[in-house]
Amino acid sequence: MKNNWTLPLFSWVLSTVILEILAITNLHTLPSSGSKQAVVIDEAFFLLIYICIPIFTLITVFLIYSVFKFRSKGRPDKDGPHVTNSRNLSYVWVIGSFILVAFVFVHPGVTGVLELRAEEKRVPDVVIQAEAQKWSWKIMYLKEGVYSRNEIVLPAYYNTKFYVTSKDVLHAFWIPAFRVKIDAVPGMTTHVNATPTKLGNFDEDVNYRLQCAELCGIGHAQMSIPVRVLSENDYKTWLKNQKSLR
Amino acid sequence: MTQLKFLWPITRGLIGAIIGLLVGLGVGLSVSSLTGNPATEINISFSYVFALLGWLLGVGVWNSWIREWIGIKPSYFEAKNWQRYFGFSMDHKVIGVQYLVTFVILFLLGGFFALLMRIELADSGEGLLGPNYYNTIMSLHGIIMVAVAVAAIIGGLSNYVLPLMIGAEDVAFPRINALSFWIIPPVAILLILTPLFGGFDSGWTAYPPLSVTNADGQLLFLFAFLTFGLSSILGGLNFLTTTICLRAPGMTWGRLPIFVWSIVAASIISVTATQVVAFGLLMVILDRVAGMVFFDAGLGGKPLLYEHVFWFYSHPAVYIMILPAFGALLEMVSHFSRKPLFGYKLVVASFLSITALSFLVWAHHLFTSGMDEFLHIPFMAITELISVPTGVVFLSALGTIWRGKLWLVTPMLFVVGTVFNFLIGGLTGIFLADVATDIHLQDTYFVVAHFHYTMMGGEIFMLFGAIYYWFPKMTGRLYNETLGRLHFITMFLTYNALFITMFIVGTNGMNRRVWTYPENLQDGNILIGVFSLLLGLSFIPFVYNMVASWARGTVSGNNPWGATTLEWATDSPPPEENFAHPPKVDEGPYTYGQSGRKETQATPI
Repeated sequence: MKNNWTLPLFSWVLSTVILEILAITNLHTLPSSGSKQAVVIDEAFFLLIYICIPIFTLITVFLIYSVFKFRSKGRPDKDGPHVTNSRNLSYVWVIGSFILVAFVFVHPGVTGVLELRAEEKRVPDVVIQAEAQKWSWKIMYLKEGVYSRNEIVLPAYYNTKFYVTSKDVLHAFWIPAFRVKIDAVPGMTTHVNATPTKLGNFDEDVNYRLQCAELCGIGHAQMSIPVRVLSENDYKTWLKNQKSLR
Repeated sequence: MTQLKFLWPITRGLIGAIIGLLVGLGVGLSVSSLTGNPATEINISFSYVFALLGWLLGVGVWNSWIREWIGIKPSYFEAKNWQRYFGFSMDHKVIGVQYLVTFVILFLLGGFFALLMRIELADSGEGLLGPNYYNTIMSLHGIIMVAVAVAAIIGGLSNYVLPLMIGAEDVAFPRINALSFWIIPPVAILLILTPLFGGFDSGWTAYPPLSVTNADGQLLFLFAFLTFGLSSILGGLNFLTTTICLRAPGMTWGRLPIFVWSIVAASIISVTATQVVAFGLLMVILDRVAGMVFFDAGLGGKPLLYEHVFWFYSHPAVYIMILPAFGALLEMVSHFSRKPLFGYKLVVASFLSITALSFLVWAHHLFTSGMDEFLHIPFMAITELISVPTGVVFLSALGTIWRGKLWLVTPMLFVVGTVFNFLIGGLTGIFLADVATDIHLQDTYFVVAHFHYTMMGGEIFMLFGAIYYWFPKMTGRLYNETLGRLHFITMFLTYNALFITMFIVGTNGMNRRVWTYPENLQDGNILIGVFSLLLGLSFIPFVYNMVASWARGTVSGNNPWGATTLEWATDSPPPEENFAHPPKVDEGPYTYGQSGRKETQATPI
């Protein structure tokens, strides 16, 4: 029976190597990365892909191999062997999957959460309140006392804290280029941090947009405003031209 | 006229519904004039509740049930042949078929709604539906498919085969069983009527405050969901009791076919979790109709509370759908590999662990909801932990196929396809259990693709596989194998093409529940649209095959698969009392490969 194992094990290793190489070189499905948070989240995403590939190939290869190797033409005239269990294989499988889960939980799971929280704990350079209302955003620069309705402008490299509120129903604050997302809940103030790592704007990259991500009624799909990341000087000039909150 | 006699129960039900509607309208009008509250929603609520009662009384509850309580002889007309399916039948086999046919029709309707959505989404700008209709159609697609997924596999499949598999004459509560089916038509009618009442744009999750403040159609949806929950609780109760009390002599717990175990595990969830969501829905109804403020933040309400209550049911609910699918998968994998199920006890243990753990993972839907951050890590841990018992299903399936004698007929092809689909569904679940990646992926098409891979690729694929598998038992005829294979291959290929593309589009920033999106995502969406049209077409051979084979397929005989479980030991279709002689069981369900095995294990007394 040894022969049964050689080919699928070899195919498993081979297909894993091929898929891993393809994933490392060719996988570009995430939007452009524009913040420190995006780096953490993207690393976790790719690490999970690399971890999932051998599991995917293991089961797929053995499934396909078994289907071709053990198929009978038409109705089988004999039964297979009366094998009901294999204690060792069960132990290996359950303990193995438990170890995998524990690994994924610690890294990128807990480590990712802690990295994002470390960013949250830093004293913010810019404090913004984003107020959602069907179906628009009001972006208030709390330290500077100005606000903007038709776009959200940020200085590059500065840690920005967003306090998110809603005046009516649930909404969600999501900037795809930064990967950050948090719901706007009536009666609560939620918060999220983002530190832009490069200049960018909506006209060049649609992922620079503040998009509502929680269904909020008819206008939900269009509840989106452009995001613009400027250099510090440009940002200061822009601030001067904004309407005062008071 | 006598030929149409079989339509009497439905006619009486409709008359009862109309009388109930008028009574309810009267009550509603008087309540609203007494209290001075705005009338519309109070009228809708009272009219619906009374119409539902009228319908149930008329369709059979009065004649075959309540008359007995007040000392009148129950009288009901039991039709013959196919006409039985239109009445208040208490035969679990009739009810099973009623469920299955109803839900295949609703499944096709839900699929049609999906196609309408894809037509709108073929263009990044405004298309066929526009914002209001899009949201309503999207919400209808969601709730109809969720209802199909829950009810067709438990109400349909398990109703038909569970009593046969354990050697019972019927379920424990036949009248409750009939009731749980006849509650369903009002649900479907309410949902279909929602567009006339302004639609409902809240999705099937119906998060307040939106669901408290939007059009009246929302109220219809809430009542529909609530009523459906009642049916689901009654069904779960029935299957648990049946399995506990009505097993044939010798059918010990260790000899139960694995499908029965999966129904037990799923039924525990449906009798213990459903009332939680029902109460959440009731709170929204009371907010709307009675002016209560459970979710009005301005008056001290908490919108986040609903999200917790909703997912406390709705995450376990996905296991109500997938556990029976696992059960059916492992059932078929044993019969079509001609090998005993690999690791039976381990699988039972893992089903029960999934049931337990399923109650402790709900807040992974809320990583970005603003709930307290210290909950993130524990819920990530438990969510990832549930993949250990789920992984056992793969071990058992592969272990059974290994060195078996595989018979690759349509149901077995669906089994192989489901293992592949659910593998992708399970692995992509890790990305959503991981807090960091979930922050980006939450509410994108990645989530949509993930739950379609588990719910459709896992459960609905298995539902179709199981329909093919038990079709000879239900009808006494064989389906057409060529058409069955055509259905599998087209469905499997187009399905995977569709939802793999959806993963890519979703990761790339396509958020869900939108009718318009940035232009750079248009190519992906057009591809998804084309694949979904092809996926829709793949059901044509299925429908034709079922209808034509039921009418004039080859007669199958009692046990065309040579399977060892008890349902194959009786006639196809089984007689009304299921077994001509009550069966006695003296061995386990999967005796393949045992020396001197009998063709079936039923030994007539």
